[in-house]
Amino acid sequence: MSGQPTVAATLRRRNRAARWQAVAWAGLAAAGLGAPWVVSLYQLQLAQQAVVLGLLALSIGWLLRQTGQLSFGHAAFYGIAGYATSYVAQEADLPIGLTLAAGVACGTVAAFVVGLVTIRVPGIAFAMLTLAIGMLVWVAGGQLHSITRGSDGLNVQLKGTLLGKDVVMYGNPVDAWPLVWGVLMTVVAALWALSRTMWGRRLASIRDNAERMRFSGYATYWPRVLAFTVSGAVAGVAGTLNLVTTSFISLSALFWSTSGIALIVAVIGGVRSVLGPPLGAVLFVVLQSYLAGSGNHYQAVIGLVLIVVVLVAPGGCVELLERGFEAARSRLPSRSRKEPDPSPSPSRPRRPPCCSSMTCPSPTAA
Amino acid sequence: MLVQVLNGLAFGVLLLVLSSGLALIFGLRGVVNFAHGAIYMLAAYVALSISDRTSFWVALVTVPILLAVAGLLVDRFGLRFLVGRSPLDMVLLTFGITFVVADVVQTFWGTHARTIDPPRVLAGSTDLGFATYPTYRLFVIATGLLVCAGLVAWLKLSRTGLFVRASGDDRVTAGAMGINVDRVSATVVALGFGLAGLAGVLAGPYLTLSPSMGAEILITTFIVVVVGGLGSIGGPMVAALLIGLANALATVQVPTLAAYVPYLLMLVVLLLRPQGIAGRRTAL
Repeated sequence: MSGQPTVAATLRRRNRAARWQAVAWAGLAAAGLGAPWVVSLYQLQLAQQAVVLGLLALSIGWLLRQTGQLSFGHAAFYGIAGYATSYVAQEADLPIGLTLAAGVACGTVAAFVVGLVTIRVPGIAFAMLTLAIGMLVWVAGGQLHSITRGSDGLNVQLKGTLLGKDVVMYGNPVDAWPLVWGVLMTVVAALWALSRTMWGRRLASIRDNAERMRFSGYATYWPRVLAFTVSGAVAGVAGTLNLVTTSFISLSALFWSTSGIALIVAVIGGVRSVLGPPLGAVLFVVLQSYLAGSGNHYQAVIGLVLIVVVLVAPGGCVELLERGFEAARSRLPSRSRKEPDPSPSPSRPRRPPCCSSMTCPSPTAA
Repeated sequence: MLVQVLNGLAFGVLLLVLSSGLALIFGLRGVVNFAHGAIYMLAAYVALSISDRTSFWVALVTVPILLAVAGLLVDRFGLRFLVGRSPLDMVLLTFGITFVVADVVQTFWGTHARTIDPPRVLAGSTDLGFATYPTYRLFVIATGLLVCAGLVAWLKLSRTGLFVRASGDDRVTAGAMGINVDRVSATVVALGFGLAGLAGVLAGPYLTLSPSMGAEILITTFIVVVVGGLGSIGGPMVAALLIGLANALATVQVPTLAAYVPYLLMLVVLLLRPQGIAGRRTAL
């Protein structure tokens, strides 16, 4: 076994990496809180938009990362949560915390129901199906004009005190920033932790080879339904947060391009890492505000960026950053790396990597 | 009533032309072409410009050819690099194309609704004995059915069609048997784009041109393909006519529910048969 990494060594390395990631997260979370003192009001407003878009992108990106399933329908949960929040706020006199929770809960329940039906459908049909269901919700939203006010949109007056501030204050980015940033970093941490649990690992195994997992006696249906629900809940949080900060929602929140933009953002940022989608959202918002002055061709630019990223760097910007980091590290003297790279022993060649369902023989074939 | 059936048939045939292109590209390249709706829209707008300057007939011939060439380029400089990668990458690539095309259309033709005038021969109505019916829609039905019959005949009877089916079933073996899989793929993608282009030209005088027409019909086309079954050609053809008819009849009988009809049909079919009417479970 000389030269082969043992399971213990792999776990040790993984835990060390996790510790570094946690430290990096804490640093980023603390640094982000200082943003209002550094940037202008307009930039803070952009940052706030980026956080909301980043949360939606995170929900889609995390689902793609953990289950390999591409959802084009998350705008439905985003919009449903927003509309539910506004509806509850107008119709029932609940404390603001409960109102917001009710909104998120509605988005989550909707995701659960949709997940029950769609998760069975394999591969690419899943993407088409979620798209169709998202559009079904959009059509329904247009017909429920008395609740949604259609494309005119809805100005929502939220009342009450949230985290020691009148909720109206959150219309101001300076006041809202600690809230939106806190929510984003909490969600990032929670999703990262979830993907490191037993359940998260099992999801990844199902993604890589569902058939083998099923043959090994694991449930493959409910873990994925749960993942879809969790991801829908995050989309719901994004929708509710959007309502709190803008006090406005319209039918375009439900339209498929909302999902589409979030998906593009997630892919450009990189779905292999949990922080990728929010990073992509920042890039998108910056790009959009930069291009807004020059004829507003952001659609074409973002489409081209997506095409280039898919062709050149499927791991997104996070992958590019990692490559840069690796390149920089390999120039350093090797004493900085304590553990030498384990190389396969010459006497026993390593088996070819068997990771995707496309290359694995099914258990029955042997 | 019969007029409603004809209306349904006209829309169904339009879906038929679109979805057979989509199903063709999926069957061979394994790509769900999210750009299909955008290509259809682009075709309609290019046809608008061409038929304004020359005539509708010129547009009917040239636009599908132009878009087939575009398909060749997309295949050569995009999809070919992604062979062997996750199929989701191809979806994302075509999705990127959607955004670029949408921007191009808005830049060159603006955002307000337009229509193409049908040629003079097809402008009026025809007396069918039981009713008079717009001639242009009859022309759409006839052309669409003819093209699809030709497509099926090509796939089932010709040597190239055999190659296409073989490459779709098993890329590697087909290549080992001496089929130039890359060339077959390029042909199929070009043909699929050309069919989307044809649907766009046909739709021009019949539906209204707007920058959202691609996104709207794309959803319906997806429903057709999912209902019909991914990986088959016959299934989507049946589903297209079914959804076209159901749509037209529901518009008259239950107008409030008409918008939901395709979705409901899709949900029912998927709950009973997740792989669609004629789909193969293993294809995915």
